[in-house]
Amino acid sequence: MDSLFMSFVPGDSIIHRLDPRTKILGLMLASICIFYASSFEWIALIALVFVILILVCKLPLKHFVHSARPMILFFVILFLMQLLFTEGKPIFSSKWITISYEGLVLGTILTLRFIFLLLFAALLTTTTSPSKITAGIEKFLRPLPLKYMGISSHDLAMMMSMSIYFVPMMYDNFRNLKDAQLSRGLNIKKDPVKAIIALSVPLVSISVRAAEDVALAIESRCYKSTGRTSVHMMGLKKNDYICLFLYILLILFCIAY
Amino acid sequence: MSIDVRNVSFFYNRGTSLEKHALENVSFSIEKGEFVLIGGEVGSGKSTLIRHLNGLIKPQSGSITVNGMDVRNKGVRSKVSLLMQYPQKQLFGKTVYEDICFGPSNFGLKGDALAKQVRDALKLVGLDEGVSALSPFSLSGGQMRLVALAGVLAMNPEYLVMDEPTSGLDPENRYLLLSTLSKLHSSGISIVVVSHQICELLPHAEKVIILKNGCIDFIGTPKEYLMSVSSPLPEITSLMKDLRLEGFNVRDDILTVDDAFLEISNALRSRGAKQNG
Amino acid sequence: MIFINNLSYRYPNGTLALDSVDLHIRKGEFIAIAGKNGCGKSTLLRHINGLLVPCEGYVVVKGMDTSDTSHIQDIRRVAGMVFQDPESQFIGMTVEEDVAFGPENLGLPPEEIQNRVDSSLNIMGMMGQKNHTPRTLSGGQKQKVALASVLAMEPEVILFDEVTSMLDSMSRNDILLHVKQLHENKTTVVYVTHHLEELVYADRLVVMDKGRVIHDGNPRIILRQGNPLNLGIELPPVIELSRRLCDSGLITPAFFPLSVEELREVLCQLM
Repeated sequence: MDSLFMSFVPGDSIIHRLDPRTKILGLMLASICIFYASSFEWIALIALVFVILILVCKLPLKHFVHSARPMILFFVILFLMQLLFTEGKPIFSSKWITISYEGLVLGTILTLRFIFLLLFAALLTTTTSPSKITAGIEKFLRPLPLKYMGISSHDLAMMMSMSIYFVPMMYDNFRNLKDAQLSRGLNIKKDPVKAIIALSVPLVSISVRAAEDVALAIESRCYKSTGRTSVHMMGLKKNDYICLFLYILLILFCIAY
Repeated sequence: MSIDVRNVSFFYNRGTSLEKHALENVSFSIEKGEFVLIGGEVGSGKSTLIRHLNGLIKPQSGSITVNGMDVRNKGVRSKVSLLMQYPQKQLFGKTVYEDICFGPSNFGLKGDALAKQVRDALKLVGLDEGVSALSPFSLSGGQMRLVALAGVLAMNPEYLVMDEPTSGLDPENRYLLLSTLSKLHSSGISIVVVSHQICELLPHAEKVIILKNGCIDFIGTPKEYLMSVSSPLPEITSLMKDLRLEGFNVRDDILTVDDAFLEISNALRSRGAKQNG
Repeated sequence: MIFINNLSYRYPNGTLALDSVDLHIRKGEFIAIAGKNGCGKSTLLRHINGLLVPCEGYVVVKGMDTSDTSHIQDIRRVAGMVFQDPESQFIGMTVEEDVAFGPENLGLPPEEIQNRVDSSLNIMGMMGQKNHTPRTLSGGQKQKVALASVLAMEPEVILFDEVTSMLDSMSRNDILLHVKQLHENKTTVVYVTHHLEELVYADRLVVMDKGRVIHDGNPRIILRQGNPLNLGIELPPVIELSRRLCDSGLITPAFFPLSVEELREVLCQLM
């Protein structure tokens, strides 16, 4: 796995120090704006905001490009779909394909939208540690009447952070397991059914055991779903209020426009 | 007849900013029937190296041949069996028998020949034939590891490569596994053990290779290893080295309790005789 | 500190794991529990912090009965536990967050949590790895983080469940020295192991077999008499050598030597 994909990079910039809730809210607003961006001017404005944010968080552009890289194939397909299947004024045509001007514009805008959506999400994950993100989401969930369903917002946040932790661990296990079964002569192409059984059965039993072990570790360290505190001091500071103010301005501006 | 590793180098994430050197110009050979220990710290390239020996990883430069056959040929996997760390994790059959069948049947063995191969493998690791009908998950950890070992032995390998085979076992199962290994070795199979804890296996070994940062740091016999390296040494050897430094007249290339006892009692007696005379 | 009285435990599938065990662990003791795989030593350990509850008999930790669920959090705070597998006991994304997990559950204020995290990481010498992902550490470092996580709860008893069995000999000695240090600082240590080499610092050895306690006493006296785990297998090499030297009358030490350092000391005195 590309180790830079959506991974957290510790730092001490203003963006790093913002409350995770402010950043999550910001990402939501940015997504909505991107979703409504239908002209190149809008996209340019979004790009400008993104560039400013990158300069503020003092991280090289490389990290964000790496985050977008695994999705390139998706972007290409998205672009081609729009390019080829949008009807309009043809600017190029041959026996099989016709490319319209509208297709070119629409494809470019749509692709850029997705790229920026991903880049803004990457901005959140690179400047916020996963546990702060979960802590932030936990705070957002708190007012919901979850306790009547028998779960607490801590439980949900815990489940989220455990699954973030489990994915890379299972990936390592899977790679070792695959090597082990290949060493026993498994030919995945020739015998895919056998391969699925030989890989999935042990992986399930490894996962069950790992889950049991982690559950014991959690229990023996006194986990409880209510009345927990957090090592991360969360509290809205001056910069958070400035951001929230800007958000409100942005919303008002959008409504008015 | 041997595994020949010639000038093998390997980079992870080659050509990217995350490029990492795992092996650098490594050359050695493993003769048929030899007992080889490969040691080195975590991250020294041990697990990358053993994945080369049966072609799980293809060499980026240099060459590896098994009995003259290039390791890129999948056929070498029936000659070189690789048993990963905690091999009990790879079991998946409904019964022990079914699980052990997996390897040999992948190489086209069927019917009576297959059944015989499985029985022989169980016998080789010293498991009772009664376990073959049981579920592998109902066995103890030590037994599961023996089943996994039987699973690769059933492929009738000429070279058995193992990653940390005794890790996590209690003394009884460790003893059982080590004696199984020396039994396999005397039946003519080459044994290659990779471990960061090679001391307990030194008395069995014929060749020792130590990796450091992807390069061969030492290669030689166990005796040469004891004389040339300062650590890690078996406890008995480091005791003898300490005593020699303290002025005891004892040999310090000693591996077994028997030899150490003999040396120390001789030294003490001759000292006593001198004092009395 | 810990009273175990007539404790029996059956697994859900019916196998008897513990068979009327009686054990009294005093405050400040370093007690080692040894035995073959499946002898019940880990099961016994899990009763001490209430991860398992007795089928018969009772376990009392610092005056609290483990089967009384209202005390369970207090019991687990008093008796912390480090597990065997360094892989699967991490909960946090970074070393710091993992160590903070316990104190967070105690509902402590953030500054107090931060202090405890820093001091326990300092004790274990892992401050430099504070912001690392636990997965990227070596086995020995992982176990040191796991121990720091327990220390952050400021327990009075620490239960060690075969913590070194997946480590190399160098990391094992490192961990063992830390355990010794904790014991010198008045922590009660219950140390489950099957490596008899690790008994050097223990003041009491309990040997279990088939769910019962078969030896309970000074480790040096028990080991002097042979391998308490299995008569068929030799002791660890250095202990076996000490035994043969004692048997042949060549050395007559006051303490039966258990390690290279101790045996060298004894032999050098003869010079």
